[in-house]
Amino acid sequence: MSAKINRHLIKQTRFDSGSLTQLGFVAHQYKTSGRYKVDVYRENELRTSCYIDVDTDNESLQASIELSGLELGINTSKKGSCCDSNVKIYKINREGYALFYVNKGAGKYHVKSYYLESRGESYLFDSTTLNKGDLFGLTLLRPGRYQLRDGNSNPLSSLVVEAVKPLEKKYVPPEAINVELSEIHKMKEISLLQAQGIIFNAKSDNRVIIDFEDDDEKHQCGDRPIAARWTKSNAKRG
Amino acid sequence: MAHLTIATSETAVQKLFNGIRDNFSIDESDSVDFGPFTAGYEVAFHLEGGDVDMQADNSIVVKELDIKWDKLRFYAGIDIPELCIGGFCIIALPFVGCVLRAPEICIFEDDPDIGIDLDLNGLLTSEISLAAKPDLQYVVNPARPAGMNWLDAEDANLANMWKLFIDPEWVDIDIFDWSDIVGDLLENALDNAIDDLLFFLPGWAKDLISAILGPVIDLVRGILDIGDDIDEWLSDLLGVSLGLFDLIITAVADLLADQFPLIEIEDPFPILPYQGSLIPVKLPIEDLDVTFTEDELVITASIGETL
Repeated sequence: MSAKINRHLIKQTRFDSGSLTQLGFVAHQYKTSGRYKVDVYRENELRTSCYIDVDTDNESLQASIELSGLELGINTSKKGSCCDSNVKIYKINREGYALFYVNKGAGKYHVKSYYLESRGESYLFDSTTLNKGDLFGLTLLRPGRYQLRDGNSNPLSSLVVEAVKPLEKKYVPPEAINVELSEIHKMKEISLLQAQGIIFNAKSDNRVIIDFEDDDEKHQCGDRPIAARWTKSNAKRG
Repeated sequence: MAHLTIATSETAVQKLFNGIRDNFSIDESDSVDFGPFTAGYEVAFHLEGGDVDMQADNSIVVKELDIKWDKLRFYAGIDIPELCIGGFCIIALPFVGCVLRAPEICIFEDDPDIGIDLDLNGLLTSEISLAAKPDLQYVVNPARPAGMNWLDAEDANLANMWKLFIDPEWVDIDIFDWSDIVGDLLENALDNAIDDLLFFLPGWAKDLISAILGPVIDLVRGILDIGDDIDEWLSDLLGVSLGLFDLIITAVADLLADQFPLIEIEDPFPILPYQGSLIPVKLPIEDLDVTFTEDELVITASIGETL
């Protein structure tokens, strides 16, 4: 019997668009054709880079760029990528999006990109400050109450993730919720079900931070985790 | 014309058969990969009972030969499909569909698998019946050097043999009954396997995984292709897919056909042993014939002219 769980999914209590971890992603649309360089940072340290070629001739509308694999030199992103042996080059259509995400490890990545021919100018895209058209999305697994903030400012809203119980039918999470950050002040509380996606549409200079606050009785179900277990059958298998 | 005729009763034949039966035991294991799951068994059994009924057509029928399971363990390993979350549509366009999709993140790092282990000993009632005809074989002692005379063979204990086997015409195995608790045992084993798989997770994560896999027991039942009738499923899997029943009937058939004879007759047949300086007296058996009647096993023999 074996099950190596992706423990980061279970342990995470903070989700930050400017410090990407598993379950979250940032999407950006490059609207001008050309080659862009993307610098990938982990814990504020430059780790690796890749290129994105944007052209109307490119068929792909999505380049999924997995940042932990990129740092390790593993090409885990198939869609929209090409296979340069040294520096990855992703190709997308001008109408498409580059989607940055993490699927291994503790993450804490952010990216900065600039138009390659205009080196020296400011970054065109910095995932620590999302602007209009940029998206930050995530899938929350742990039920409970979360606090939603923009950067280090005061809380914007509360987010409640309701627990699901095993039912007779297979649970399929409902469709993702879209939230306009420009409208979020009107929302007292955002409700989600476990594993339901949520997408934040940035307004200007946004950094979405979501902190887990509590898993009170209302949202929590189940027992405390067990640290280890011995069973006769497992012992026999050695 | 035969020089000797010996007849034995059905009771005597029954005792001879019991001797063969008591020599029989099997301890085997096997497993098969069925793709989505693997299954296997470990069995050990012996035989008890068995009523010999001699027939007028020179055959015998044995009924109610009970399979006594000393060990009957069934196990299965099941690959649970990878469980990934996310993958939802972020932007969809009319007539085009989803143009931007969230990444999928998988909860397990490898395909998880679970194992179920069922001790079915004592829960299966099964028996064998068979019909067989006499098969008389003259067996030259394989250790006897060519040209060795009968007396040297006597001294070296290398005499040849007439051996009467009962050669099965058919062997049937009947599964009469699985105990009523087999279904519960299987359900419990599946429950425990899932619980073992996820034991280290907090309750909310277990519930979520169970809900998405959901329900896991049904999923596993689906992978294992367990229908409504667990007895039938187990019998099919063990007996047909894993070939356990074939193994049993083949082993029984081989045992009777050429491993354990019903009767062995030394040739030449000993009449008197060494007595002082006198060599033993032995009768060469030239022709031997065996017939089953309804009441007796009749053996006729012709004495040869030379040893």
